[in-house]
Amino acid sequence: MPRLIPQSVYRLAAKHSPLLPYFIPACHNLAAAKQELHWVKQELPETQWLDAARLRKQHYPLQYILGTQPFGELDIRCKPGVLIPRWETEEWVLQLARVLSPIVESKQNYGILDLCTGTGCIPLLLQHELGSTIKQSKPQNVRTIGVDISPLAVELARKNSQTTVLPTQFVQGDVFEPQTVMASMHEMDFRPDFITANPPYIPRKQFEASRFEKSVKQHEPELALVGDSEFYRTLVEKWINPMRVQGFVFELGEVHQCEYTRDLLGNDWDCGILYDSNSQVRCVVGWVKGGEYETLRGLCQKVY
Amino acid sequence: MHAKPFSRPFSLALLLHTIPKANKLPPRPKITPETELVLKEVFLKGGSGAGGQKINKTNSKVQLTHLPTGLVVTNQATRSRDQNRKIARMILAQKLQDMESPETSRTAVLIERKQKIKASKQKGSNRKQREIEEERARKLAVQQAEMDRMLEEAGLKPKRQDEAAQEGIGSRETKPSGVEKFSRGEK
Ligand SMILES: C[S@@+](CC[C@H](N)C(=O)[O-])C[C@H]1O[C@@H](n2cnc3c(N)ncnc32)[C@H](O)[C@@H]1O
Repeated sequence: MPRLIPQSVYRLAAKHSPLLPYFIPACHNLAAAKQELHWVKQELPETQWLDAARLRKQHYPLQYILGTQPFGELDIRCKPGVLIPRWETEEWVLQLARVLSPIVESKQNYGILDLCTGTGCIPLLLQHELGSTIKQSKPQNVRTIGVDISPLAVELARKNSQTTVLPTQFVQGDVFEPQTVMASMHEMDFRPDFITANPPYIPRKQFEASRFEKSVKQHEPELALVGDSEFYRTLVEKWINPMRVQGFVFELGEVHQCEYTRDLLGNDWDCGILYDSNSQVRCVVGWVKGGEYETLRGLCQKVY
Repeated sequence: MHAKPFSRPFSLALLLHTIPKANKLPPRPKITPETELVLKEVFLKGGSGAGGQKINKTNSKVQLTHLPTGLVVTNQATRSRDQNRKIARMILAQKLQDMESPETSRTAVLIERKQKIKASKQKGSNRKQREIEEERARKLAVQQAEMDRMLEEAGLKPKRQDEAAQEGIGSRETKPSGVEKFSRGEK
């Protein structure tokens, strides 16, 4: 939805700083623009300020310009070609970590598998929140693995595990062709107890519509964005069921994706919808009835 | 002069002694789990609607409302929403403490400390001022003595009124301008 920004806003911005008007198109208002310019100045050397401002004027994502996105307590590296982590994802991952914490603590070993992992932000933050740190003398009982089809994403995710100093591992693979990934996991002696995923969930029709956010369409990879029910089908049928996992959280963007996932689950499953703090449908959460994952119910505002 | 060399350092030391050290300040108040229950937290994203993968917002603003008092705190100090949530809680906890115990809160101690530091600086700068003035007066006295000596050598030493009257050289016209000052001062 292109919004017309009054000329006066640009004039006011120019009064404040010659670089500020560059930030108006992407930020819409003065306060947000000031905030972004402040961050640019804080994080980049002065020689790069003008280039940064010019890129931002073209709606180039701030996170690609600065190279990172905070995610919980972590700083996740971002690179063109890999989707930038969203605050909505950060929000549910932190909520999930709180629910999983007592379960993880009661186990000798605990494995979490994240499919369609991108930058690796989800398994990295879960590892950070749930794993023991070097300071604690407890042995590490949490293992996290991320899978993505994009070599660019896997490379970046591995870099992120280095910079965050977390032992999360990454495997390249296609969620529609689980055999090779499963073979790798077997070799790594890894068995998942829980599965998370944030697959591409924007229906093609919406993505192609003229009112679709142009900064996302122009600068973030289509491979990470466009998808629908087929992903939820493969997640349930090719991963949840064969691996006999008892709980999952999948991010999504449409109510029909929730209902679709619910209908794929057997009678022994319960599932519900998690809404984000912007009151939007954000995740489908599933757990085996009467099992240890009943506490996942607490994440849902609506249970089917 | 050397009769009371300790008086000033001593009083200054006493004053400094009462200023709490930065690391000895009362700890920052925290939001207790019970208080957490009566907080309303909103994430201000500027506009609603589409979210998730469909949009990439950099806004990380957090707004906390303490329901019992209506106190509101907003924060967007950093790009990290997680960090901003923590900062907002710190600020709110402080505001609540200020409201509950205005005399003894951390802010009250901080303000008192600032005032004391300012006062001690003021005192320091007063002393400096006095020293500068004393120095100036001393220089002036030396200059005057020097001038006196020169005038004396030139046989133009300003005399006291009675002396001048006696010797008949007190008239203005005969005096060089530099001397006039002195004679006027002598009057
Ligand atoms: C919406 S992004 C999510 C990235 C990350 N998990 C996050 O939350 O920021 C979806 C990711 O799925 C990957 N992807 C797309 N198709 C895939 C497939 N068939 N198998 C595995 N990964 C796939 C994309 O490369 C992209 O990184």
